[in-house]
Amino acid sequence: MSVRAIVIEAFHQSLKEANQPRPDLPDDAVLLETGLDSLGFAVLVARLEERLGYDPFTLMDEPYYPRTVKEFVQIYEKYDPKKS
Amino acid sequence: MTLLKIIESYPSEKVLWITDRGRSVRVSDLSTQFSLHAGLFQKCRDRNVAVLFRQAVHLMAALTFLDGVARQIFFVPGSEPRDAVRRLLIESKSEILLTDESPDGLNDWENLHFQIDWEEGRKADAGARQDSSETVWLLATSGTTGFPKLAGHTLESLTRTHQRNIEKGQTFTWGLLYDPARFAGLQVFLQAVLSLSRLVITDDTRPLNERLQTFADHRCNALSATPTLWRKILMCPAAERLNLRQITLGGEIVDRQIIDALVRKFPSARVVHIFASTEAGVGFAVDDQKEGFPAAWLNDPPPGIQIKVDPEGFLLIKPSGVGSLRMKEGDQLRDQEGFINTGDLVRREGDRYQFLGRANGAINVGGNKVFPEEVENVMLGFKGVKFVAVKSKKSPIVGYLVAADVVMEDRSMAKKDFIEGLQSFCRSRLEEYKVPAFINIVEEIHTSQTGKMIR
Repeated sequence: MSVRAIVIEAFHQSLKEANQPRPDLPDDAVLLETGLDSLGFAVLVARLEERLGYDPFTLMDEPYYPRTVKEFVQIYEKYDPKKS
Repeated sequence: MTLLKIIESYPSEKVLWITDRGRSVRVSDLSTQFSLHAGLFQKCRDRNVAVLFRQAVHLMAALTFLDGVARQIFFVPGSEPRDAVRRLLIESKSEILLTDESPDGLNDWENLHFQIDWEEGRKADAGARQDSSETVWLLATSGTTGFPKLAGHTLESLTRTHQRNIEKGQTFTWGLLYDPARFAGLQVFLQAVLSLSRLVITDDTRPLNERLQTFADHRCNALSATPTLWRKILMCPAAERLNLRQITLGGEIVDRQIIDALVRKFPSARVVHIFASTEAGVGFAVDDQKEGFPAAWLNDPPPGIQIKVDPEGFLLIKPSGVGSLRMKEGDQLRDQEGFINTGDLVRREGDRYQFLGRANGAINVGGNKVFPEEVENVMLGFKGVKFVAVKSKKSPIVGYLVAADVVMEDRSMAKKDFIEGLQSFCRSRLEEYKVPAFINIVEEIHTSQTGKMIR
């Protein structure tokens, strides 16, 4: 599975647990409006770290706050250590 | 009253202790041993003695002879790392170490090994002589966080709340599962001595089921253990052979499920759970088979103690009656009225107080405090959960998240479905931040030397 697919799947799982399931997750959806609160994000990021083996938010030199789903996925793709 | 005087007041043929190898130790045996080692124990007179014994029966004998003779008895926590032990020996100002760990590996009854060691201890100022001749019993706390602390007591203070009904006591045979050098084990030992109940000792290197078999062989009808240990006991085949009349739980918060399970399995037993702390040296027993304790006890406490709850919810205890406990220097745990802060938090629910957990064990999730015990309690109510340990997992976003290790009853069950079911169950019963973000299925959950679960 690609990094993008893994991130989106985990995102959906977290939304389901927060009782905010959605059929889709468009690229331009604003993160803070998806239905996940800070706790939900903390859990999502922690689970992705377990799954992927890295947490881009701790790897980055300067803090960057993604605003949309697209930016969120891109961070994971950017910091993917397996990237050639 | 010293231990030896108490024991020698009993008929000489009475059996006190039964060892692993099936040997009975009678009152007369102890008198004999005392004579044999009289010289050794005279050397301990008015000295600070540290005791470290492989075999429980040696420790018990040594205590009997040292109480009233030594100035101080320090119970070396042998399970701690060597460095910590060395530090504690110095901190306790011990001058003599009594041990049965002899170099050539012999651990016989006759082989009480004598060492004078620890130059630092001897040179250090041993402190002012006490007014009374009571021996100080110095114990190391199990220290959930950080280095163990030392707590000083006396035989009198440790047994203030104990029953001394010998007629009734003689009908009981206790099994010892705890380490007698630690507070809980010491309490079982002392209770047995004071009530003239027999005590069956089993080596803690033996598997639990085997130890229970030994207890059953000697017709033990009383047993004290932590809730975690009791859950394991209930799964041992040997438990079928036990005819228990007295069940004591302590050391961890006692939940509804374990009380019910024990009442079901041992219908003739009186089930009691004890709250006590090594620092306070006393505690109270709840025998109404409900969690927590009655709120009425704040005004009308059980004999021997007083109970208070401070505005933050901390449980405070003070032994009542004549003579305060010897206050060690730096005793910041006590307030002006002599109450000790147990470090445990409680919450009033109706006419009872419920235990929340150790204050220093709480998990901070984005500023919200979560007590592992509370989450564990909920999870234990989910069918299929055999054991659970809740712990923290670091999160750069909220500080910490809640994680849980779970041992499943039925390992053949599909893990994914089980985990999802368990999480939904938690979500329906707990605030969002208390719900475990991670549920790991594990083979087993480790317990400490004191029988408590290690998170």
